[in-house]
Amino acid sequence: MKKLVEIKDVCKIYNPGENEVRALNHVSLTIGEGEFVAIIGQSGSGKSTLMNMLGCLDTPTSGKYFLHGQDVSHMTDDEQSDIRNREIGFIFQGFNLIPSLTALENVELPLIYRGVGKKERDRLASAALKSVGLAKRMTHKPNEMSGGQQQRVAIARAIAQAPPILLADEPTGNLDTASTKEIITIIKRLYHEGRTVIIITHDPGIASQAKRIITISDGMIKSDIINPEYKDEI
Amino acid sequence: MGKITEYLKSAIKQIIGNGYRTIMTMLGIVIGIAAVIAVVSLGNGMSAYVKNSLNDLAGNYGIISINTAKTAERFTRDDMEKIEEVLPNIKGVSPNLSAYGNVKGRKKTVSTSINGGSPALEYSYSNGIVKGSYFTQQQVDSGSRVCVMLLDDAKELFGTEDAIGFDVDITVWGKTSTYTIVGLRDHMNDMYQFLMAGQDYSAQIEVPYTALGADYDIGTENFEQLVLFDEQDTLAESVERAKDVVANAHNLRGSSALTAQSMADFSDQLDQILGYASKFLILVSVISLIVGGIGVMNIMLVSVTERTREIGIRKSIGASTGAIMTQFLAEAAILTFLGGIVGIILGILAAYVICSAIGFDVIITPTSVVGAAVFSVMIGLFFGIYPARKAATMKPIDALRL
Repeated sequence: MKKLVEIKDVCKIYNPGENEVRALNHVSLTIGEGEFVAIIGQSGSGKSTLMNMLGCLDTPTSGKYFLHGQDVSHMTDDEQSDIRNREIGFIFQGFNLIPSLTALENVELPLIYRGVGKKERDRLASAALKSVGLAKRMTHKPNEMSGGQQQRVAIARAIAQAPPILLADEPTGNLDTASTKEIITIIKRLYHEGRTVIIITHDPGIASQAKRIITISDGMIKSDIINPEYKDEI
Repeated sequence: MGKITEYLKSAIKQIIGNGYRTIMTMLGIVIGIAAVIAVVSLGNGMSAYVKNSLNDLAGNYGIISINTAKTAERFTRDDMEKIEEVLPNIKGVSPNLSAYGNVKGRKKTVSTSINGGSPALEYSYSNGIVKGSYFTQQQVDSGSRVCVMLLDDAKELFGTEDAIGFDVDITVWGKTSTYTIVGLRDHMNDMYQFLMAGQDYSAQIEVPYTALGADYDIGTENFEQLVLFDEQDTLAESVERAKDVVANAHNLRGSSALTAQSMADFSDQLDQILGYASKFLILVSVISLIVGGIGVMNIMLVSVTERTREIGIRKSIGASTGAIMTQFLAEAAILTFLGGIVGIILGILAAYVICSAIGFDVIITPTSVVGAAVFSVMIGLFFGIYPARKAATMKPIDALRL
C-alpha cells in the first residue's frame, strides 16, 4: 500500500507558556492510499486538532506532515489553499454550505477556485449531486433542505473535484438516525469507489463502520487497530 | 481570466442578495457625490449670475483720474480728442461731472443725481435707450438743455412712460433750469433693484456736460476725471494706453499723479472673492464625500465580520487570498461605482432644481462630474482594501470556528 498521509512527531501547542495546552503530543501516523480510517476520541482529546492538521487547515507547532511524500506542514497560505482544493474533500459536522448559494453553486465552488470552465463545472457538479441522490434539488438553497440533504450537498461538494482524500469531521453529529444511516452508506460507497476516507468521531457506533480504528486521548494515540467487526458491504 | 469573471459574478450576487446593506452603503457615496456636483454647479451659477449682473449694471468702462494734490495739471477737451485719435476703436471718452438736486415733472418732484458727459456716456449703463435717442455731439457742443432718464423716472415724474419732448425743471444748489427729455433708458436689472432697495426714490438723469457746467457753475474746460468706454476684453489695455496719451500731453510720465482703473480690475477682484467662496463650498462637499467613504469602509468591515464563516468555508475548499481579496474589492468597487452613478444623476437633478429655483443658470462642469465619479471609485477601492485584506488573510480554521 502506498503512503498517502504521513505525520511525523507532530506537536500542536496552544497558549505557549505556563498555561499551555498540548492538543497534540508527539503524534506519528501513517495512512495508506485507499484506507478507511476512523479516528475516535472524547471531546478535548485532540482529534479535531488532528483533523485540522490532516486537512491543512492549521499548521503544527513542531513535526512534519507529508502528503504524497511532499512536506505540506510549512507551506504558505496560498499553497495550502491549493493543496486543500486538489487533495482533500471536507465533510463538516455543520455542513458549512454558503447560505446564499444554491446546491449546485455550492458544489461548483471548489471547481471555480480550481479554474474549471463553466460547462465542465456544471457537468461535474450535477454528476456529484446525482450520485448523492439530489438530482432534483440542484436549485434549492441550503435553508430549503433537511439536515441530511444539506450534508449530502456537502458530500457532493467534497467529491465533485475527485480529491484522493475524504476528510469527514463528525459528519453525522447534527443528524437524526435515518439521515445518519444514509450518510454512512454514501461514505462507505465512496470508499468502495477507491477513495481514502478518514472519519473523525466520538461515536463508537460510527467508528465501528471503519476498517481501521485509531483511538486518540490527551493528544496521543492510544491504539491503532484493524476493526475485527468490519463488514465489507454497503 | 475566467476566474476573475467568476469572482466578479459572485460579488454582484452578494450585492443583489443583500439589497438593504447595498442601499445603506451606497447612500453615503450617493449623498457625497450629489453634494459635490450640486454645490459646484451652484457655485458656478452664483459666480456667473453676480458677474453678469454687475457687468450689466456698470457697463464696461475705465476711469483715469488726476490727483489734484500732486499736480496743477487738469484734463482738457484736447485730451479727449487725442485719446479718440490714438484709440479709434473705443466707444468713446467722456468727462465725468455730477451733481445732486431735485427734478420736477408734471406729476411730482423727486431727488435726482445728474451726470454730465459727452455722448459716450450712453455706454455707462448697459440698459439701452428704448424711446427717443441719446443726446448728440452737436447738442453737447451747443450746450443744449436736453436730458436722458430712465423709463421708471418718467413714470414717476409724469405718470407715463411716453415722456419724450416733455420738460423737467432741474434744481441744483438753488439754481433751476428747464431741460427737455430726448431719450429714455430701459428699466434697471434685478441687481440694481436689489442695491437700491429701501432707499428713497432718486431719478437718474444724464445731460450734456456743457449744459450742466453752464447752468450750475461747474468748469467745463478742466476735468479731474475722464471715463473711457470700450468692449470688456480690450478695456484694460485701452485704459492703459489712454493713460499714456494724457501722461505725455501733461508731462506726467512716471508720476503718481495719474491713476487708471477699469472694470476689468474690479472683475478680477470679484473673481477672486467668488473663487474663495466656491473653494470653500467644494471643500465642504469633499468632506461629505470622505465621510461617505468611511461609511463604505464601516459597512465593508461589518460585512467581513458577518461573513467570516463564509470566508472560512471558501478558504477551506481552496480559495486563495487573492480570490477572497478580489471578491471583496470587486464588491466595494461596484458598490461605489453604482453609488457614483446614482449620485451623479441625483446631483445633476438637484443642481437643476436648486439653480432654477433661485434663478441661476445651471452650469454643470464635466470636471466635477468625472472628478466625483473617479473619486468615488477610488474611495471604494481604498476603503475596500483594508477589510478585504483582513478577510483574505484570516486562517481558515479561525474563520470556521466563529
